[in-house]
Amino acid sequence: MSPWICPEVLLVLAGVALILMDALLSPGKRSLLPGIALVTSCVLLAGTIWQSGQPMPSSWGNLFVTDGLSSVFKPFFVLCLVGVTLISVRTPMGREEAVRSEFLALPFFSTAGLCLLASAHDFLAIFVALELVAISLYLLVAFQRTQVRSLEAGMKLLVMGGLSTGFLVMGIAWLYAAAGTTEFTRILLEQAGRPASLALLLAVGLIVTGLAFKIAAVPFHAWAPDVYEGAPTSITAFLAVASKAAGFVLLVRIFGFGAFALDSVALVFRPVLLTLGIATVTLGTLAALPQRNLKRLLAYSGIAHAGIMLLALGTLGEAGMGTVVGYLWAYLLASLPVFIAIQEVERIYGNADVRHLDGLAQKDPGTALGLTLCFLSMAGLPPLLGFSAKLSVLSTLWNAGEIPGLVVGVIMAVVGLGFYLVPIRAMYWEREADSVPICRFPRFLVWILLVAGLLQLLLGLQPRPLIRLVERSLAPSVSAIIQDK
Amino acid sequence: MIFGDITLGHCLALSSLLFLIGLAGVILRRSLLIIMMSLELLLNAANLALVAVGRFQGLPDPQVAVFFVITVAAAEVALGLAILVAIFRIKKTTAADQLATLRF
Repeated sequence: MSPWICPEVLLVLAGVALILMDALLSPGKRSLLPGIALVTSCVLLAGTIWQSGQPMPSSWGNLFVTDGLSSVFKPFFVLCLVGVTLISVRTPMGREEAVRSEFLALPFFSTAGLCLLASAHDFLAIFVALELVAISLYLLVAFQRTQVRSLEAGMKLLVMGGLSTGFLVMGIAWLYAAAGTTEFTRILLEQAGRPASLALLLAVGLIVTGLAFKIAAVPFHAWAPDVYEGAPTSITAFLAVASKAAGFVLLVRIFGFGAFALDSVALVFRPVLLTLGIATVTLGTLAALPQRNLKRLLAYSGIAHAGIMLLALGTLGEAGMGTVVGYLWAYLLASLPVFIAIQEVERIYGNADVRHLDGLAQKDPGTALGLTLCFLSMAGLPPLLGFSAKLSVLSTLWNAGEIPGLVVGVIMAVVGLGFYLVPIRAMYWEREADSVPICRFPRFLVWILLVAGLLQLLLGLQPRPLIRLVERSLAPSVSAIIQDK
Repeated sequence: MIFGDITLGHCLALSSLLFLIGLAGVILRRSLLIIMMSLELLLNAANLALVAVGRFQGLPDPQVAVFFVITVAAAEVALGLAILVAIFRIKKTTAADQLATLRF
């Protein structure tokens, strides 16, 4: 089999094919496009899982590597694409119906960028891949161009993304000044055993700031709730899961394996990351409490999750890196189904207010059960998957002796229950107002939600598959070792 | 020597100053157009640093990186202006404080 059949190439080809099909198909057959997009994304997911671990066609002078981390996260990002396409297919487009194929095709390009990010082993590659992700996303967020809220969200994301790019590029410039290279292995070899120069610390600081925008860490989080609320729901899901995960995969790679896995850097940045984590989890949890819009609620919940992952990452040990990987998978499995449900609520009522869930348990017990399990898993209640994930973060903090982080993590996990219970209370205890139409989900979505909910339970009771995944992600990179000789 | 006594330190200081001006512009200015100009200033400050490092350390890589950054900045501005035009059509203004539909 030709090595050129790798996920990135196929994703770009699929995106181009979707746009071409829109131009070439007769108007009557254009309604097939959403179905084609969905099937294509599922085929790509199967192909990516089957292909994961196989090296990319070339490392382009060590710009890219294939290692455990990349082979675990390429399927992650393509799974996000499947979920996003599923939500996009269900999105009513209104006046943008004519350009629906672009709305379906752009996430493919963005996902190609994410897969490149998972393999990137050089800051220049990271820069190009991040921009491939980001520029497609600006367009997608502002896609409903007749609605002010969508445009406003797009503008806010663009300004924040531009700032993040600025910090990243400035960091790369200082990295050249400090180390003369941006390739991870060479930075490591060059800087190992030396005290960190001021220029290097400045470079790390600027790059971490750039990535902090992507993961919506405090104090660079302010864009998240507005953008999440204004964007089309499928894109909100993409931002909340894939884009955030991309930031963490990069942080894990640069602090765990390459570039900045240096004792001299760790000395300065361990407290910085832990402090960021404490601030992020505290603000995310407290700000989520009064929210009554599901998208804003999930935005702040995402900020809180990012804080917890930053705490695990901040310990800068192998255990911390593995914990982040496992946590990201748990976060993906719990939040994608919730976004699918939010899209259905929005489709019926026009917005994602939490009161639209009132009385859902009576009308549609299957959906309510699936959603409840997902929300409880996000809250970290035993015996669900989210509990195992949160417990592993807390035990990592305990083992690393980071007592302040541990205490804040425990307190916020308890406080967090408060806002995850808001939608659950609406579903089970509130009576539905008479005037609103009946909220009924299509059968296949109910099954997806139920399966997702049960998956939380099963993986919570038996987390072995996830543990194997984490172990696999920590496998060292093949090409980097060859390069070292 | 065309640069005379100018050292890498001078160039990096200038680029840092431009970076801070750009950052202040993004944070403080209220017109979306000026905010986007400030974003450009940020990226160009980084470009200046890249070129200077490449010149003084004799590295080709940072100077190649500048072309990447210019391309990306152009794409971002094209998209930003498109969104700005769409906003202006609806709201008849480009002031950032008027974008307050999404407030909790």
